[in-house]
Amino acid sequence: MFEIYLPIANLTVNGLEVILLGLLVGFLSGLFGVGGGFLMTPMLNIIFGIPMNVAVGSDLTQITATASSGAIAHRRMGNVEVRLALLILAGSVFGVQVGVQLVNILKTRGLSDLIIKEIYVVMLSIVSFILIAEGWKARGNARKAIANGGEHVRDKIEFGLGTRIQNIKFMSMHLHKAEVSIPVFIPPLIGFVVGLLAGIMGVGGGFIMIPSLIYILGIPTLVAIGTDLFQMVITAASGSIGHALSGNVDLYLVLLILAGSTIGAQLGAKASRKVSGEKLRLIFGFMVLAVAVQLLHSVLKTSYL
Amino acid sequence: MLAKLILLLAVLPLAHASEGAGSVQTKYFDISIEPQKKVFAPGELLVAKITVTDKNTKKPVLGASVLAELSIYQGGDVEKIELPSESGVYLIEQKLLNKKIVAGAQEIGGGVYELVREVDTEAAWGGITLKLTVTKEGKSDTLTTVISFMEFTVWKYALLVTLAAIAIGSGVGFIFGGIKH
Repeated sequence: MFEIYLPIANLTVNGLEVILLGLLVGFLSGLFGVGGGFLMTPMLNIIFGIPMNVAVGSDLTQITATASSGAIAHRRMGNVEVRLALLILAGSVFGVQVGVQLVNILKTRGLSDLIIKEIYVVMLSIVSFILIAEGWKARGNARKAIANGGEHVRDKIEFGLGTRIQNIKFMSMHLHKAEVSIPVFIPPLIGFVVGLLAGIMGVGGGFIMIPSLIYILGIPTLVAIGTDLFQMVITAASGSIGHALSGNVDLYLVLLILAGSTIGAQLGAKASRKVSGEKLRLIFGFMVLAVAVQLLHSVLKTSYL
Repeated sequence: MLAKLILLLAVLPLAHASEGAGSVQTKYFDISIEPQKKVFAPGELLVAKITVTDKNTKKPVLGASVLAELSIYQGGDVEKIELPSESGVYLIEQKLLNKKIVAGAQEIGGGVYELVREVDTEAAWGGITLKLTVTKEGKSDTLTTVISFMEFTVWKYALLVTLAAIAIGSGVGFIFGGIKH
């Protein structure tokens, strides 16, 4: 029952299970303000056995949709720093195409599954450790501030690199919504690296871009989320076209995921109002770590068993 | 609630662990598959060059047996089969999701083998799962990849799926975009 044949992946999946996965990942992406690709792509491979190149391509197409949805919502709420998004795009559109070509090279060598999984393990581990360490410290500081009778300033990021970058006066530009000044050459560099990873890993890059904007540039969390979603529409669309031209996008799979993720994202966005920024980052960190451990298990099983 | 979700995320893949994508790591040979095109058309000849090198010596592997098992999506094409019996002939109709074809690749020299096989399908678009088995002197390795085929221009498909994704996402954003975070 509910079995659907995916023409390009060339296998049968339980459609209801894919929709449920979309709903679950959509909920979490709405809650944390990311595209959710870093969860969806490996899960499509691990749970349903979808070849990694098809999982990457199809997920990037569905991210185009969820990012469009989120970007419109955040633009209405005034959370999008358009100039920053354009600077990031200057780097990310090139990065994503380089990533797509790398996936194709790996595919010809039959290594796309293994290498992509290994990159995931490394990236997810780094991001989870930063989020957990910083979130833990921020929660501790908040508790101390309250215990000392002071007022807890919500969502204040304390990370030295952001302050040092803001102090660079060469080619500096002031961002009004974020209320910070940054050098104009940093966002395209971040964009290229995130775009490259997005093309290889089939993700919008939110789980790397948002921490980068917060910790490297010192952008407030909500503006980071809104700006990231805005630039993600173009980056993901560019990657989607590239992957579709390489035959890596399965339309049926995209529609199944979208059926769940669009609804889940809206429910997650509602739920996010009830949790503080520090707690969100801490939970997000543990969740990313759980996926990294799963993938590491899968890589070790493939390589050594 | 959140703790339960995290637990579910951790447990779900384990429950399906045996259904994973399978091994991608070869033991004896490095095998690379280079199809002539990224996307083929139905009825067209699928041409792919397969390069086999020894994992240890890094030298080309000559004289190996390279067998390809192609599983081509058929789009639910109906196949009629006549079954004779004592009371007459039964006509059975069965739906074909994919057709399995086994073909050998010819060695063209220098550890390079060429696979030529028609994309035999009635479907307008879909995938071909290509499972390659390389055998030499009792050593055998298998590699699986997916190659797509399409009746229509790939550019049209790429633009259509991406624009549809933007349209669906924007539609949802306009409808629910008023939600305050």
